[in-house]
Amino acid sequence: MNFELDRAQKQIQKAVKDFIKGEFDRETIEGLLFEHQFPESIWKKAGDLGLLGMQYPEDLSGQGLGLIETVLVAEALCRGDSSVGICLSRAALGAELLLHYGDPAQKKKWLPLLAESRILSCAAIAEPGVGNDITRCRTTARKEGQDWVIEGIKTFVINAGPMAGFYLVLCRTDSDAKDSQNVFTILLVETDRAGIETSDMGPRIGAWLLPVKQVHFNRVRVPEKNVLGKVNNGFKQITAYMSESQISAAAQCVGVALGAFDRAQKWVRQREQFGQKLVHFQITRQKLSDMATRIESARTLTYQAAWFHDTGHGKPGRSAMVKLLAAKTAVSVCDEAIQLLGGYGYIQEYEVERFFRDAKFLEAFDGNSITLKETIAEELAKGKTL
Amino acid sequence: MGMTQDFKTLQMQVRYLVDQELDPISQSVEARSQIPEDVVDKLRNLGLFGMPIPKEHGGLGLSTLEEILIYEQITRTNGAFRSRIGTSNGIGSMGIVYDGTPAQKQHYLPRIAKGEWTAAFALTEPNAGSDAGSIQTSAVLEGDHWILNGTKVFITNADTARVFTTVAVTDEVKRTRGGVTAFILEKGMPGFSVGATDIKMGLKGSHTNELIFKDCRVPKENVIGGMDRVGQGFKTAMRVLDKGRLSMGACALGAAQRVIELSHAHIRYQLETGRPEQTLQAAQFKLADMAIQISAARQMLYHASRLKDGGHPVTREASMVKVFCTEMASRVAGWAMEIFEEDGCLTENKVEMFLRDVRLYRIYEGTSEIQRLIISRDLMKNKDLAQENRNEF
Repeated sequence: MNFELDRAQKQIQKAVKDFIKGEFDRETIEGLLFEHQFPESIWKKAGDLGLLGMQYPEDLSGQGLGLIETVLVAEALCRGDSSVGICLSRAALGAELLLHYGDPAQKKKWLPLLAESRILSCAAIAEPGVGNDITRCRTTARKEGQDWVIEGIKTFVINAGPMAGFYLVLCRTDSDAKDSQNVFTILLVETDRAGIETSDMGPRIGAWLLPVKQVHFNRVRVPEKNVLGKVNNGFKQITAYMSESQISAAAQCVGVALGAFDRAQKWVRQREQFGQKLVHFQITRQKLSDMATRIESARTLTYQAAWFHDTGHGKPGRSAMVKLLAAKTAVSVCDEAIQLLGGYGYIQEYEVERFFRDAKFLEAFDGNSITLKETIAEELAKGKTL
Repeated sequence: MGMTQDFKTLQMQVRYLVDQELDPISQSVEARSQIPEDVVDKLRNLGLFGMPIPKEHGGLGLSTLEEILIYEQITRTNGAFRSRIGTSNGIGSMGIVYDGTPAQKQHYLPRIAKGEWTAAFALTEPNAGSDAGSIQTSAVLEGDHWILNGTKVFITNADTARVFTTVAVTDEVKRTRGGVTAFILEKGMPGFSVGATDIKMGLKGSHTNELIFKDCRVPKENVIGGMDRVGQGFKTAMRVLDKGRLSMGACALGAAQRVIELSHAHIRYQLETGRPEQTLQAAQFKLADMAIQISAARQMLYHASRLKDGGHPVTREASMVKVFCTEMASRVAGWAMEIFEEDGCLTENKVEMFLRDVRLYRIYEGTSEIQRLIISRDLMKNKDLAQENRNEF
């Protein structure tokens, strides 16, 4: 057993830390928050530095690294700033699908654009009113001549809009089959195809810098070559993708928790009430210890899940567990951070309220607690022992 | 509950106002960070700015329990509406009600009760939060005026208020033991200014601001209770805060009640639109948990309110109510977010707004930690808890 990061991994951590110091300017971020704007210039620089698409092969502008490196970067970025970190960690959302199931032409066309921060990408999966149960998705793709014609509405599409290069759309392609496992296909839809309309989803709790839209596909036509992998294989692809993206999401949660912890720790070490620093009150130390213990457990389990994934032993149940634990940790740590800062915790200037709201966003996405527990229970119900 | 017909009518009117007028504009109040003045007029017309103010001074003269029941109704929507009336009913006016001179009562209370003058309360300072005793604002007597210098922060309704009750140190040696004095300030007094509005996590339709006193000249007559009560201000402030704890519990309860209603409707909608029942068992159990918590909070709150109306001391009970109800509301809102899945993140579905609004209730008018301090101290005063019988009252 070895829990040590290797030298290259430590260098990556250091590089991200330096990047944050140089680029995460308070005033700039406050301006972005005021306008609800994607942190475009920081994203560009992150691409220049090689922080995006690290898992892609080197000939496709990546670095051929594993999920563990991606996890380390996501954690550090979200620790630096939750809102900016979430955007950068999700800039190439869905691209794992392309990496694993795309054909060489698809990969060659799109992956370098993502790694070089020239486009964002989107996974268009959820639909209005179906909640987390994707088997109830109704968006269809029908074959017309040589093309597929897509019709339907996708919701909560992260990165949708003018900066996105393509959507990976989960479509129902076989209306006859009873088994939901074999009725879906993922189609790659370039954003400039005719018939795509995006609409704003209104104000939301957090992740204010992240574009999140509803996307209408009105008879959008794509050629056969835009099928990802095989027809009617979409459900399996999505399941594997979710399993991977939940580990990244967990890393973001761990980062958000760490960021809130850092700020609260700094606060209680300098703030005085009743004639002493807050940190000298036993109750404050109890709280700090609880927060730290939760963070370290979520962090360790997240690294372990990434390591399992990289060594070919990833499992949906394991990914769901880390996402569940990490999101819960992020929410509770941020909540406690607000409490430690008192009135200051509730106002924007001191950041922890924003970390909390961003944590709530992360908690609801990529499977919320109920859905994740369903995933975890699947194998347990079949008698899998721990 | 043995309420009068007049009170029942008021309760129904408030409920109707919330459903018909307040809730429909909830989101725009949030987005614009402002309550339209014609809506504030409707609150005025119902007398909601003067609920606990005695009838002889133009208020409704409600009992604690009655006031609690009204708060429970008005917080079933955006918390900013309650906040708009909250300071006039509670922390902003009660200092005058408790300790004011007859002349002060006669001058201020009718105007506050009508909602003509909004009252606010200014205690907190940058370095005096939970530790209110460490305030630094000073007041020095010069002829017929007190000269105040200092800064107050997070003052609710500072921008709309006309009257402020505040406290300042008048004897640096005695401080909280006879060296803090309570004053009534009015906007427009020389040296009084309102600073920037805080950008908050929630309750965005209700503003908190900084107050700056720079050689602020306050007439001698404006010491709450008159010159005889110079040095007694800390007691006044603590008594004011004591009363607010039950109200704060009621606000949290009203919000939680609305959240369970929204969650219930959401689950029913899911079932009606074909979502299989077995995928909603966890959600329905959460609904059950919400109901349990809300019910427990309600009984606790009503019990403490009746005790208070019966003239019993309720310091411990009021703190327990504030902690339990406000933490309960956060838990309930958290469960609702799970029930709503991703949709819960959208402001239009309301639960996230309640989650943000109720978060403040665990902080202001005494954090949960301060309440636990009060409760534990009260418990530890007993040599043997087995000897204590609080079931009598």
